[in-house]
Amino acid sequence: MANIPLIETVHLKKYFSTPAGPLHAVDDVNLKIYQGTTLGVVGESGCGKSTLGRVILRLIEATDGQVLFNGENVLEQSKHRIKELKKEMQIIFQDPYSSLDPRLSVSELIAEPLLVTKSIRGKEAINKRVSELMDTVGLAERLAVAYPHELDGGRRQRIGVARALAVNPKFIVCDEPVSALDVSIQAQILNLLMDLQKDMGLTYMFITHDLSVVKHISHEIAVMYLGQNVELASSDELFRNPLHPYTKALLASIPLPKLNKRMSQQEVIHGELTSPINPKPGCRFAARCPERTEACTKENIPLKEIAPGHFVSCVKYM
Amino acid sequence: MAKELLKIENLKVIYKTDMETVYAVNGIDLSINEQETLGLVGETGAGKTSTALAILRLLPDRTARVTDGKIYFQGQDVAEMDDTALREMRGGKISMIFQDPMTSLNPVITVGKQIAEALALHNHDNKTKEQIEERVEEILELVGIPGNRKNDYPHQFSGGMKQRVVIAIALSCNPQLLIADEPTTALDVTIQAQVLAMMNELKEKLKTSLLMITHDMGIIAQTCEKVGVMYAGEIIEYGSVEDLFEGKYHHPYTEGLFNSIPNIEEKRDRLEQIDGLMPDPTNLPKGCKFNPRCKKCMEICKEVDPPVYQDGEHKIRCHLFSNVNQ
Amino acid sequence: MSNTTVEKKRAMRKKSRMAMILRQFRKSRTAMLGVCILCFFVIFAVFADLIADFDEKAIASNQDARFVSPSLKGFFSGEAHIFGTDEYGRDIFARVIHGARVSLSIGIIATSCAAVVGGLLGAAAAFYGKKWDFIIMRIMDIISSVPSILLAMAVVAALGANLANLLIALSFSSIATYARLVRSAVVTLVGQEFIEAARACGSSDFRIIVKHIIPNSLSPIICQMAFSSAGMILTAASMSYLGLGIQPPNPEWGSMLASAKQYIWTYPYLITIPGICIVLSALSITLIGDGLRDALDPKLKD
Repeated sequence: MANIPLIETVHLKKYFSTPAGPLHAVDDVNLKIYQGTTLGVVGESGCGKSTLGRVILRLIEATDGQVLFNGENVLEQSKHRIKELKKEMQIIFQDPYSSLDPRLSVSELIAEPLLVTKSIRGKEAINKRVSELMDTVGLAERLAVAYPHELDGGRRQRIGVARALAVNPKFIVCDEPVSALDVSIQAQILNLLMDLQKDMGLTYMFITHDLSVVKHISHEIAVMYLGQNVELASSDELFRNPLHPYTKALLASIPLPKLNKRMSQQEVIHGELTSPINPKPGCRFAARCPERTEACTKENIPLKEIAPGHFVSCVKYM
Repeated sequence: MAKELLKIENLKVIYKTDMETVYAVNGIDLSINEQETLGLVGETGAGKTSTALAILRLLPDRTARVTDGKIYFQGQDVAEMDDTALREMRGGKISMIFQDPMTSLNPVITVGKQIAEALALHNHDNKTKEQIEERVEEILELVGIPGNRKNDYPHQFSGGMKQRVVIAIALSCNPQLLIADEPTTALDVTIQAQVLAMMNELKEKLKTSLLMITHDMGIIAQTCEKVGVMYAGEIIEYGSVEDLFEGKYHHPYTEGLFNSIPNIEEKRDRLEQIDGLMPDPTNLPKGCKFNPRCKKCMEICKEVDPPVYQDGEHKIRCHLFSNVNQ
Repeated sequence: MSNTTVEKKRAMRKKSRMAMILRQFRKSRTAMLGVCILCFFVIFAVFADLIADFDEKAIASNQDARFVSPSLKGFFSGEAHIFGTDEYGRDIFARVIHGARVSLSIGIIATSCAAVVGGLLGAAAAFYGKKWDFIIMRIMDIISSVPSILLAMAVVAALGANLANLLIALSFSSIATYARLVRSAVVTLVGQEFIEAARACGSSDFRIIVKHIIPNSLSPIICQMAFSSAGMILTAASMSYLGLGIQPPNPEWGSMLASAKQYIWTYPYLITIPGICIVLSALSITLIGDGLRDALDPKLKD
C-alpha cells in the first residue's frame, strides 16, 4: 500500500438548498481510500452516500471542502484537467435499467466512453477494445448487437462495468451496483468486481445499503447517517466490534438466514430517519438512539480514533 | 392436525400474447393450514407473484390463463365462485399486501378513510359510522401509528409508515389469510426489521395465516414455518423451515442460493455463484428446469422430469435423491 | 441451454427497431385504414395537374355548365363532372383534388414548422432550466391562453390573407403545444440515470443532446405531429371558410364550403363533397396518429 491515499476527502460538504432550509446531504466527511483497496460506504436511503460518490466525481459540485486525487485537488482543476481526470475516475450505477440509453446497442454503449474521451481513435481500434472489454466482464461476443432491453439485469450490469472500465480508470465509484439484482446474479457481479480489482489493481468506493454485501467486498467500511460519517473501521473490526449505536442497530436489523433468533418489537430500533434539513447540533442519531444521554444533543461530536484505524463519533467514546 | 385453509393442486398459469407464451407457473402444489406461515422464495420470474394472483383470481384476464389445477379456499373451489363469493373472499377472507407502498395507497384520500372504506365493504355486523371510526383508530394503533393520524394523507407518511398503513388496511377485516408480496423490499433495513417484527407479532395476536412471498432467505428464516423454494414456475423444494435451513438434503438450487448470500458471520474470499441465468420462461429446458445451471447435472436430468423425493413433509424435486431411502 | 434464449432474442433483434415499429403499426387495422384513405388523397393531390388542368377546369368559369349534378356521363371522353359543377360552372372534382394539394401541404408544412420551433424552444427551456425555462414557458402560456383560431385570425388580419401568412398563423398558434410536450419529455430524460452516466464519462452537452436526448424524445413528438396535422387541416379550412385563408378563386376545401353555403338547400352536393373530404382526411390522419402512438410505445414491445 502506498503512503498517499489515492482518494482523500477533506471536510467535504454538500448542502442542497430547499425551501425549508439547507439540506445537509454530505456534512464534513473525511475519508481516505488507498490504491487497490475498497472502501464500503453504508447507510440507509437519504444518508448522502450517493451524493458523496457524485461529489467526488464532480457530477455534483461540492459546497465546501476538498477532494484529493493522488494529492491533487479535483475540485479546483480546470475544465481541461477534469476531462483528463474523468478517465481516472469512473462510476457504476445502481439501476442497470435506467443507466443505459435504450436506443444504443451493447457495443455502442461500451464504445461511448472511448469516443467521448478520445482515448482510442480509429474504428478498428475501438472495436477491438470493445470486444476485449466484453470478454473481460464476461459478455458473450454475440451480444454486441443486442439492445439493453433484451438482456437481464446481470448482463446489463456487466455492460455498466465494461463502460466504467473502458478508459482504464484507477478509481471506480460503485453506487449500489448489485441491489437491483437477484441473489444468484448478485454473487456473479460481486465476484467479477473482486476479480477485476485483483487483476487491475482497481480502487473502489462501494456504496450500498446492504451490510452483508459490503462486508464481503470491502477492506474498510464507513457508516453514514444523515450526511455524517458516524463510524469508520476495517471490515473485520467493524463487524467484530461495532461501537456506534447506529452501526449496532443496522447489524441487528439484517434478517439472518438462521433459525436461532427471530426479531421482536423490543429488539429492533425504533423511529425513522429524521430530515437532514437544518439539523440541530449534536448527534443526528440521538432521536432514535437507545443509549442517548443529555450530552448527545449539546454539541457536534467529532469522529475520534478509539483503536488504531477504528473511528467513531459517539459521546460514549469521547 | 391443524385445519387446512388453502390448498393448491397442480396449478399451471401461462401468459399468452401474440408473439409468445410465457409458462409462469408449471404445476405447483401447496397448502396452508390455519395460523401457519408459508414462505415462497425465489428469484425474479420464478412465478411467485403469479401464484399469489391466481389465488385471488386477480391475474390479468387479457393475457393470463390458468390452464390446469385447482385452488381450494376453505374447501371451496376458487375457480367456481360467483362474483359475490369472490368479492367476499377478496379483502374479506384473504387480503394482499403489495411490494410498493407508494402506489398501493390512493394519494387523494386520507388514510383513515381508506381503512374505513375497506371496513364498510365487508361490514357484516352492520357497524355504525362511529363504530367504524373507532375501529379505524384501533387498527392504526395496532400497526404502531397514533390513531389521531387517521386524517393525514398518504404523502404525509414516510415509506415505512405507508407500508404500515397498507398492512392496516389488509388486516382491517380480520382476514383468515394474508398474502404479502415482497412487503419490505422497498424499505430500508432498520425499517424492514420494524415491519417484520410487527408482522410477526400481529400474526400471533390475530391468528391469521400468512403467505410470505420474498426473494430473501433471511426474511423466510425470520417469519415462516413452512417454505417453498420456487424456480421457473415449480416448487423445487418444500418443507418446514427446519428442513430447509438445517436439513441434510437439499435441491442444488437451494444450496446455490444459500451459498451466494454474502454471510456477515463468516468471511469468505469468493462467493459461490450459480452460473448462468434463469431459463427463458417461453422456452423452458427439457427435464429438470435447473439442469443447465446445475453443478451436479447428470444425463438423466436433461431428459426426464425429476421425481419428488419425500421425507416426511420435506419434498425435493431432484434426480439426485431418487435412490435415497426408497 | 440458456444460449437458445439468446439466439432467439438475437434473431428477433435482427429486424431493426424501425422494422419492429412498422410491424406493430401494421397490426392495427384502423391505422391501416387511415393509411389507405390518406394515400388516396395524396395520390390525387400529387397527380392533380395530370388529372385535371388547374386553370382550365378549376379556375376558369364556364357559364354553360353551371350547377351540373354529379354524374358519370361522358366519363370516357373526359368531359364528365363526376362531382358536378358549382355556380361558376367549375368542375368540383378538379377543385377538390387541387384543394387537397393545398390542404395537405398546409397540414404538413404548418405542423413541421410548429414542431421544429416549438420543439427547440421546449428543449432549450428544459435543458438550460431556471431563468430560460421561466421566460419561455410563460410566453407559451400566454400564446396558449388565446384560442388558436382567434390567434391565427389576428396574425392573418395583421399580415394579410395569403397562403404564407396562413401557414405562419397556423404554426404560431400551435407552437405552445410542442414546446410543452418537448419540455416535459426532455425534463424526464435529463433526470434519467443514463444521461448522468453519459456525463460521468465526460460527454459534452451537445453530444448528450444529439446522441441521447433527441432520439429518445422523438416518439411523442411524431405522434403529436400526426394528430395536430389533422387539426391544422381543419383550422385551415375554418380560416378559409371565414375568408381569412386561401382567397377565391383558388380552390381550398374550406373556401369551397363557404361559397357553397348559400346553395345548401338547392344544391347540397356542393357543400357535402368538400365537407366529406375534410372529415375523411382529418380522420385518416388521426387514425394514423393513434396507430403510431401504440407502435412507438416501448412498453408494448417486451
